[in-house]
Amino acid sequence: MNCQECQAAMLNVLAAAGENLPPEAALHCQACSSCRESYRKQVTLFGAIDLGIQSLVNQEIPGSLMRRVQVRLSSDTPKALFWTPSSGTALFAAATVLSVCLTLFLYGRGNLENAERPDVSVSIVTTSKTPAPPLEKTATAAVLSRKSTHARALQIRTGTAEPEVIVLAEEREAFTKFVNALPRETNVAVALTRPAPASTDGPVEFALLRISELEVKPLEGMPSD
Amino acid sequence: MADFVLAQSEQRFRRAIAPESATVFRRSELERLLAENASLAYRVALSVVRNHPEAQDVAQESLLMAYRKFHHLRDAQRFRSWLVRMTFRLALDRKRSARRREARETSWAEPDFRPPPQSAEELAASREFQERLDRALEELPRRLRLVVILNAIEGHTVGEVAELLAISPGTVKSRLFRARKFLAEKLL
Repeated sequence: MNCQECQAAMLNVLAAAGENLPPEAALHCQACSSCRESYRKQVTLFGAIDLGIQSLVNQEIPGSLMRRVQVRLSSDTPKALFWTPSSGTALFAAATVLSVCLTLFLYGRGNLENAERPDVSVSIVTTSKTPAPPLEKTATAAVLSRKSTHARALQIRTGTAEPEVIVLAEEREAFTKFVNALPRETNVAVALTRPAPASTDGPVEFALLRISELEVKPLEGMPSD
Repeated sequence: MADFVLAQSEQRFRRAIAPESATVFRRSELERLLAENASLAYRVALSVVRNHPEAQDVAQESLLMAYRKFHHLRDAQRFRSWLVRMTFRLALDRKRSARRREARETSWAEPDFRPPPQSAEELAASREFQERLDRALEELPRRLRLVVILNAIEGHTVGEVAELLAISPGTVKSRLFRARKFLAEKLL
């Protein structure tokens, strides 16, 4: 290792805040007085750099700083009181307007439909395969009324004012839950309560196949009925 | 004084999936946050502008800017990092305009006739060294300079600097190494 390589190694070690020179550089320094002197200078230099920067940045904070900031803050109000997407203020505004319009549209549509149809109510009549106590044979589990907000959004076409649903006693609890959940699950409700399309399929009749030349004989050896 | 409410989201992604994760800051809380970080802002500013009144101006400006633009910050946990970067940028701008002023009003410093320093402390205390260190720091690329400054401020560890700048500790170590080598080569 020559002096130049040794000094480069010193620089790398000290820049990495290391303390020990590589063995080759250390051996060279033992033999070379100029490199030893250079190493001493570099250690002093790095020490001075660290001290210089530390003394530069860690100076006393003037007490007036926060007072001045407080004075400015008291006369200042942040522009936005609520968080908004930093890059999409316009997008945020557009989404807000759109949601308001949609809400108004749905509200108006619901009102219109409610005005056109009578009160919708569902009575649940329960029956049982097994004999049940007379009081439980008929029970009203839930009522959907147009006064309910959720029910307003439903588009249930009902033929009669009070349709009756026959429910088995053992299924009554599950059905009550279903009726309670119905206003929240509008898609399911609409699908389930929509009247089935009128069936155009009638019974199909097939004519008997008759072949005039065909003679049917019983098989030989087989007893005939 | 009215108690304004500043709503600050954690992250857009988190907000999208969990709106309740949004952090709500009251004005008093934000002021407390600013007061806690005022010294950091001041020291970052001072390390660049090298002048107490100017550093105070820069720190004040950056704290006010942080207050006004707090709603732009996506993650409140990154407040310190955001403030440091903002202060550093403001200080650099201030330094640049000050340099233009200095170029117009050239001042002649008294020559330093003290004997050559022997120890690191003596060397660091000499005016000539301080001036050279100032110049070397100014020549240091911005990213390296910010790491060196933050590492020196209040004895921040490599991990703390990494957290402040939202970079990996390995990157901090690498930048510190390059910065120290650069400074030593300039000052040798």
